[in-house]
Amino acid sequence: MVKQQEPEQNFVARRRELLKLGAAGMPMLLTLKASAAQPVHSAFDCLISLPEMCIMVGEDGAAWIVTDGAGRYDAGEAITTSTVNSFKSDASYVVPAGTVPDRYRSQEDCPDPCSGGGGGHDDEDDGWGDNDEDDGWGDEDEDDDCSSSDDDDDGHGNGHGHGHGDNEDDGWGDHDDDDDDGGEVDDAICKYKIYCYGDNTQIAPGNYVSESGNWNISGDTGLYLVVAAKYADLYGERGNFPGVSCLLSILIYLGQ
Amino acid sequence: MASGPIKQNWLWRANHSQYVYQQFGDIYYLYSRLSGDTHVLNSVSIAMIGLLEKKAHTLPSLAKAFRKELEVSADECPDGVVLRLLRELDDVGLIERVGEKAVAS
Repeated sequence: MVKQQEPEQNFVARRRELLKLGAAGMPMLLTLKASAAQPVHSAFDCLISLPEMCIMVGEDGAAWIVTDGAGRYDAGEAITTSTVNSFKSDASYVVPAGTVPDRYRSQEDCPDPCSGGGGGHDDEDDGWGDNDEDDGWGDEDEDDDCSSSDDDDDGHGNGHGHGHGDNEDDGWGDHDDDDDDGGEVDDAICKYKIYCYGDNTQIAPGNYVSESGNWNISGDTGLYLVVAAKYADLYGERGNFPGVSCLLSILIYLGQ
Repeated sequence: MASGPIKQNWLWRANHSQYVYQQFGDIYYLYSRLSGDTHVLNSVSIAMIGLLEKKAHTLPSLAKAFRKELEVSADECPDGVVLRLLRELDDVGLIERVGEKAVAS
């Protein structure tokens, strides 16, 4: 019985403390304006003016959002691991995996790891240069499946000559242990995609809601809505994600 | 919205049909259909809204009911504080004046 009363008593106590703050002059409500410019008379009429921002979508549907310094990124740029690392470092907001639908994720094919000019590592059991076996020849990059320039299955020549003095991944004194065969193959482009929005991009979320109250998400701005909705779901108004107040108004109105 | 002094015999009411709200812990997000604004209310302000949803109150009757609801004394919650909270709600259009209580002559 005492346990049942305890939460209620705690609530009353907290409320009493709040009232003390109210008596001291602290406002007891906070208003989030749907639009800074004018009052709005419909739940769906609020308009979001985005600051310059970029959203990077990962292959698992996670997203990173950069607002400060978004100008350094370009939706059309070829993404490298360096870009990805930089973006993640700059991100002001992050939403978890599974947030972003597949259609917004990278559709690029992963680059052929063998196209980087490497060669030298066949996948054939020739017993020489490849690292499939413990042949003791010292090629260290175990992830490459690249064939050497000669495709013959002779069981000898390919790889045999690598062991000494060349500058490929033979493990004999060159330092390119992490890149595939000397030509850097960066698969970030098939794992991440960047979307950018210009300063003052305006979005009317209400336009994405059908008469039945369902969301019809499309286009690049649709991605913003997906991410903002997730953010609203996770954090509500906290964190001041751009435009979340407007979106939250609609979500509450729709009971979602 | 009332401007100037609020008379003691004015009746106030909160009209639930003019807003929707969602509770997150002790916080309430209340969306006003009239203004399009979203308001963040704590447990104190939502308590006052709740009282004014149930019935129209004058300021004195509201102060009395509010203290009872919050289980506080008049020292802890003087009429002036109740008035200020009432004004806060009125300023953003969450409550409305619905008339005057007849004064016995």
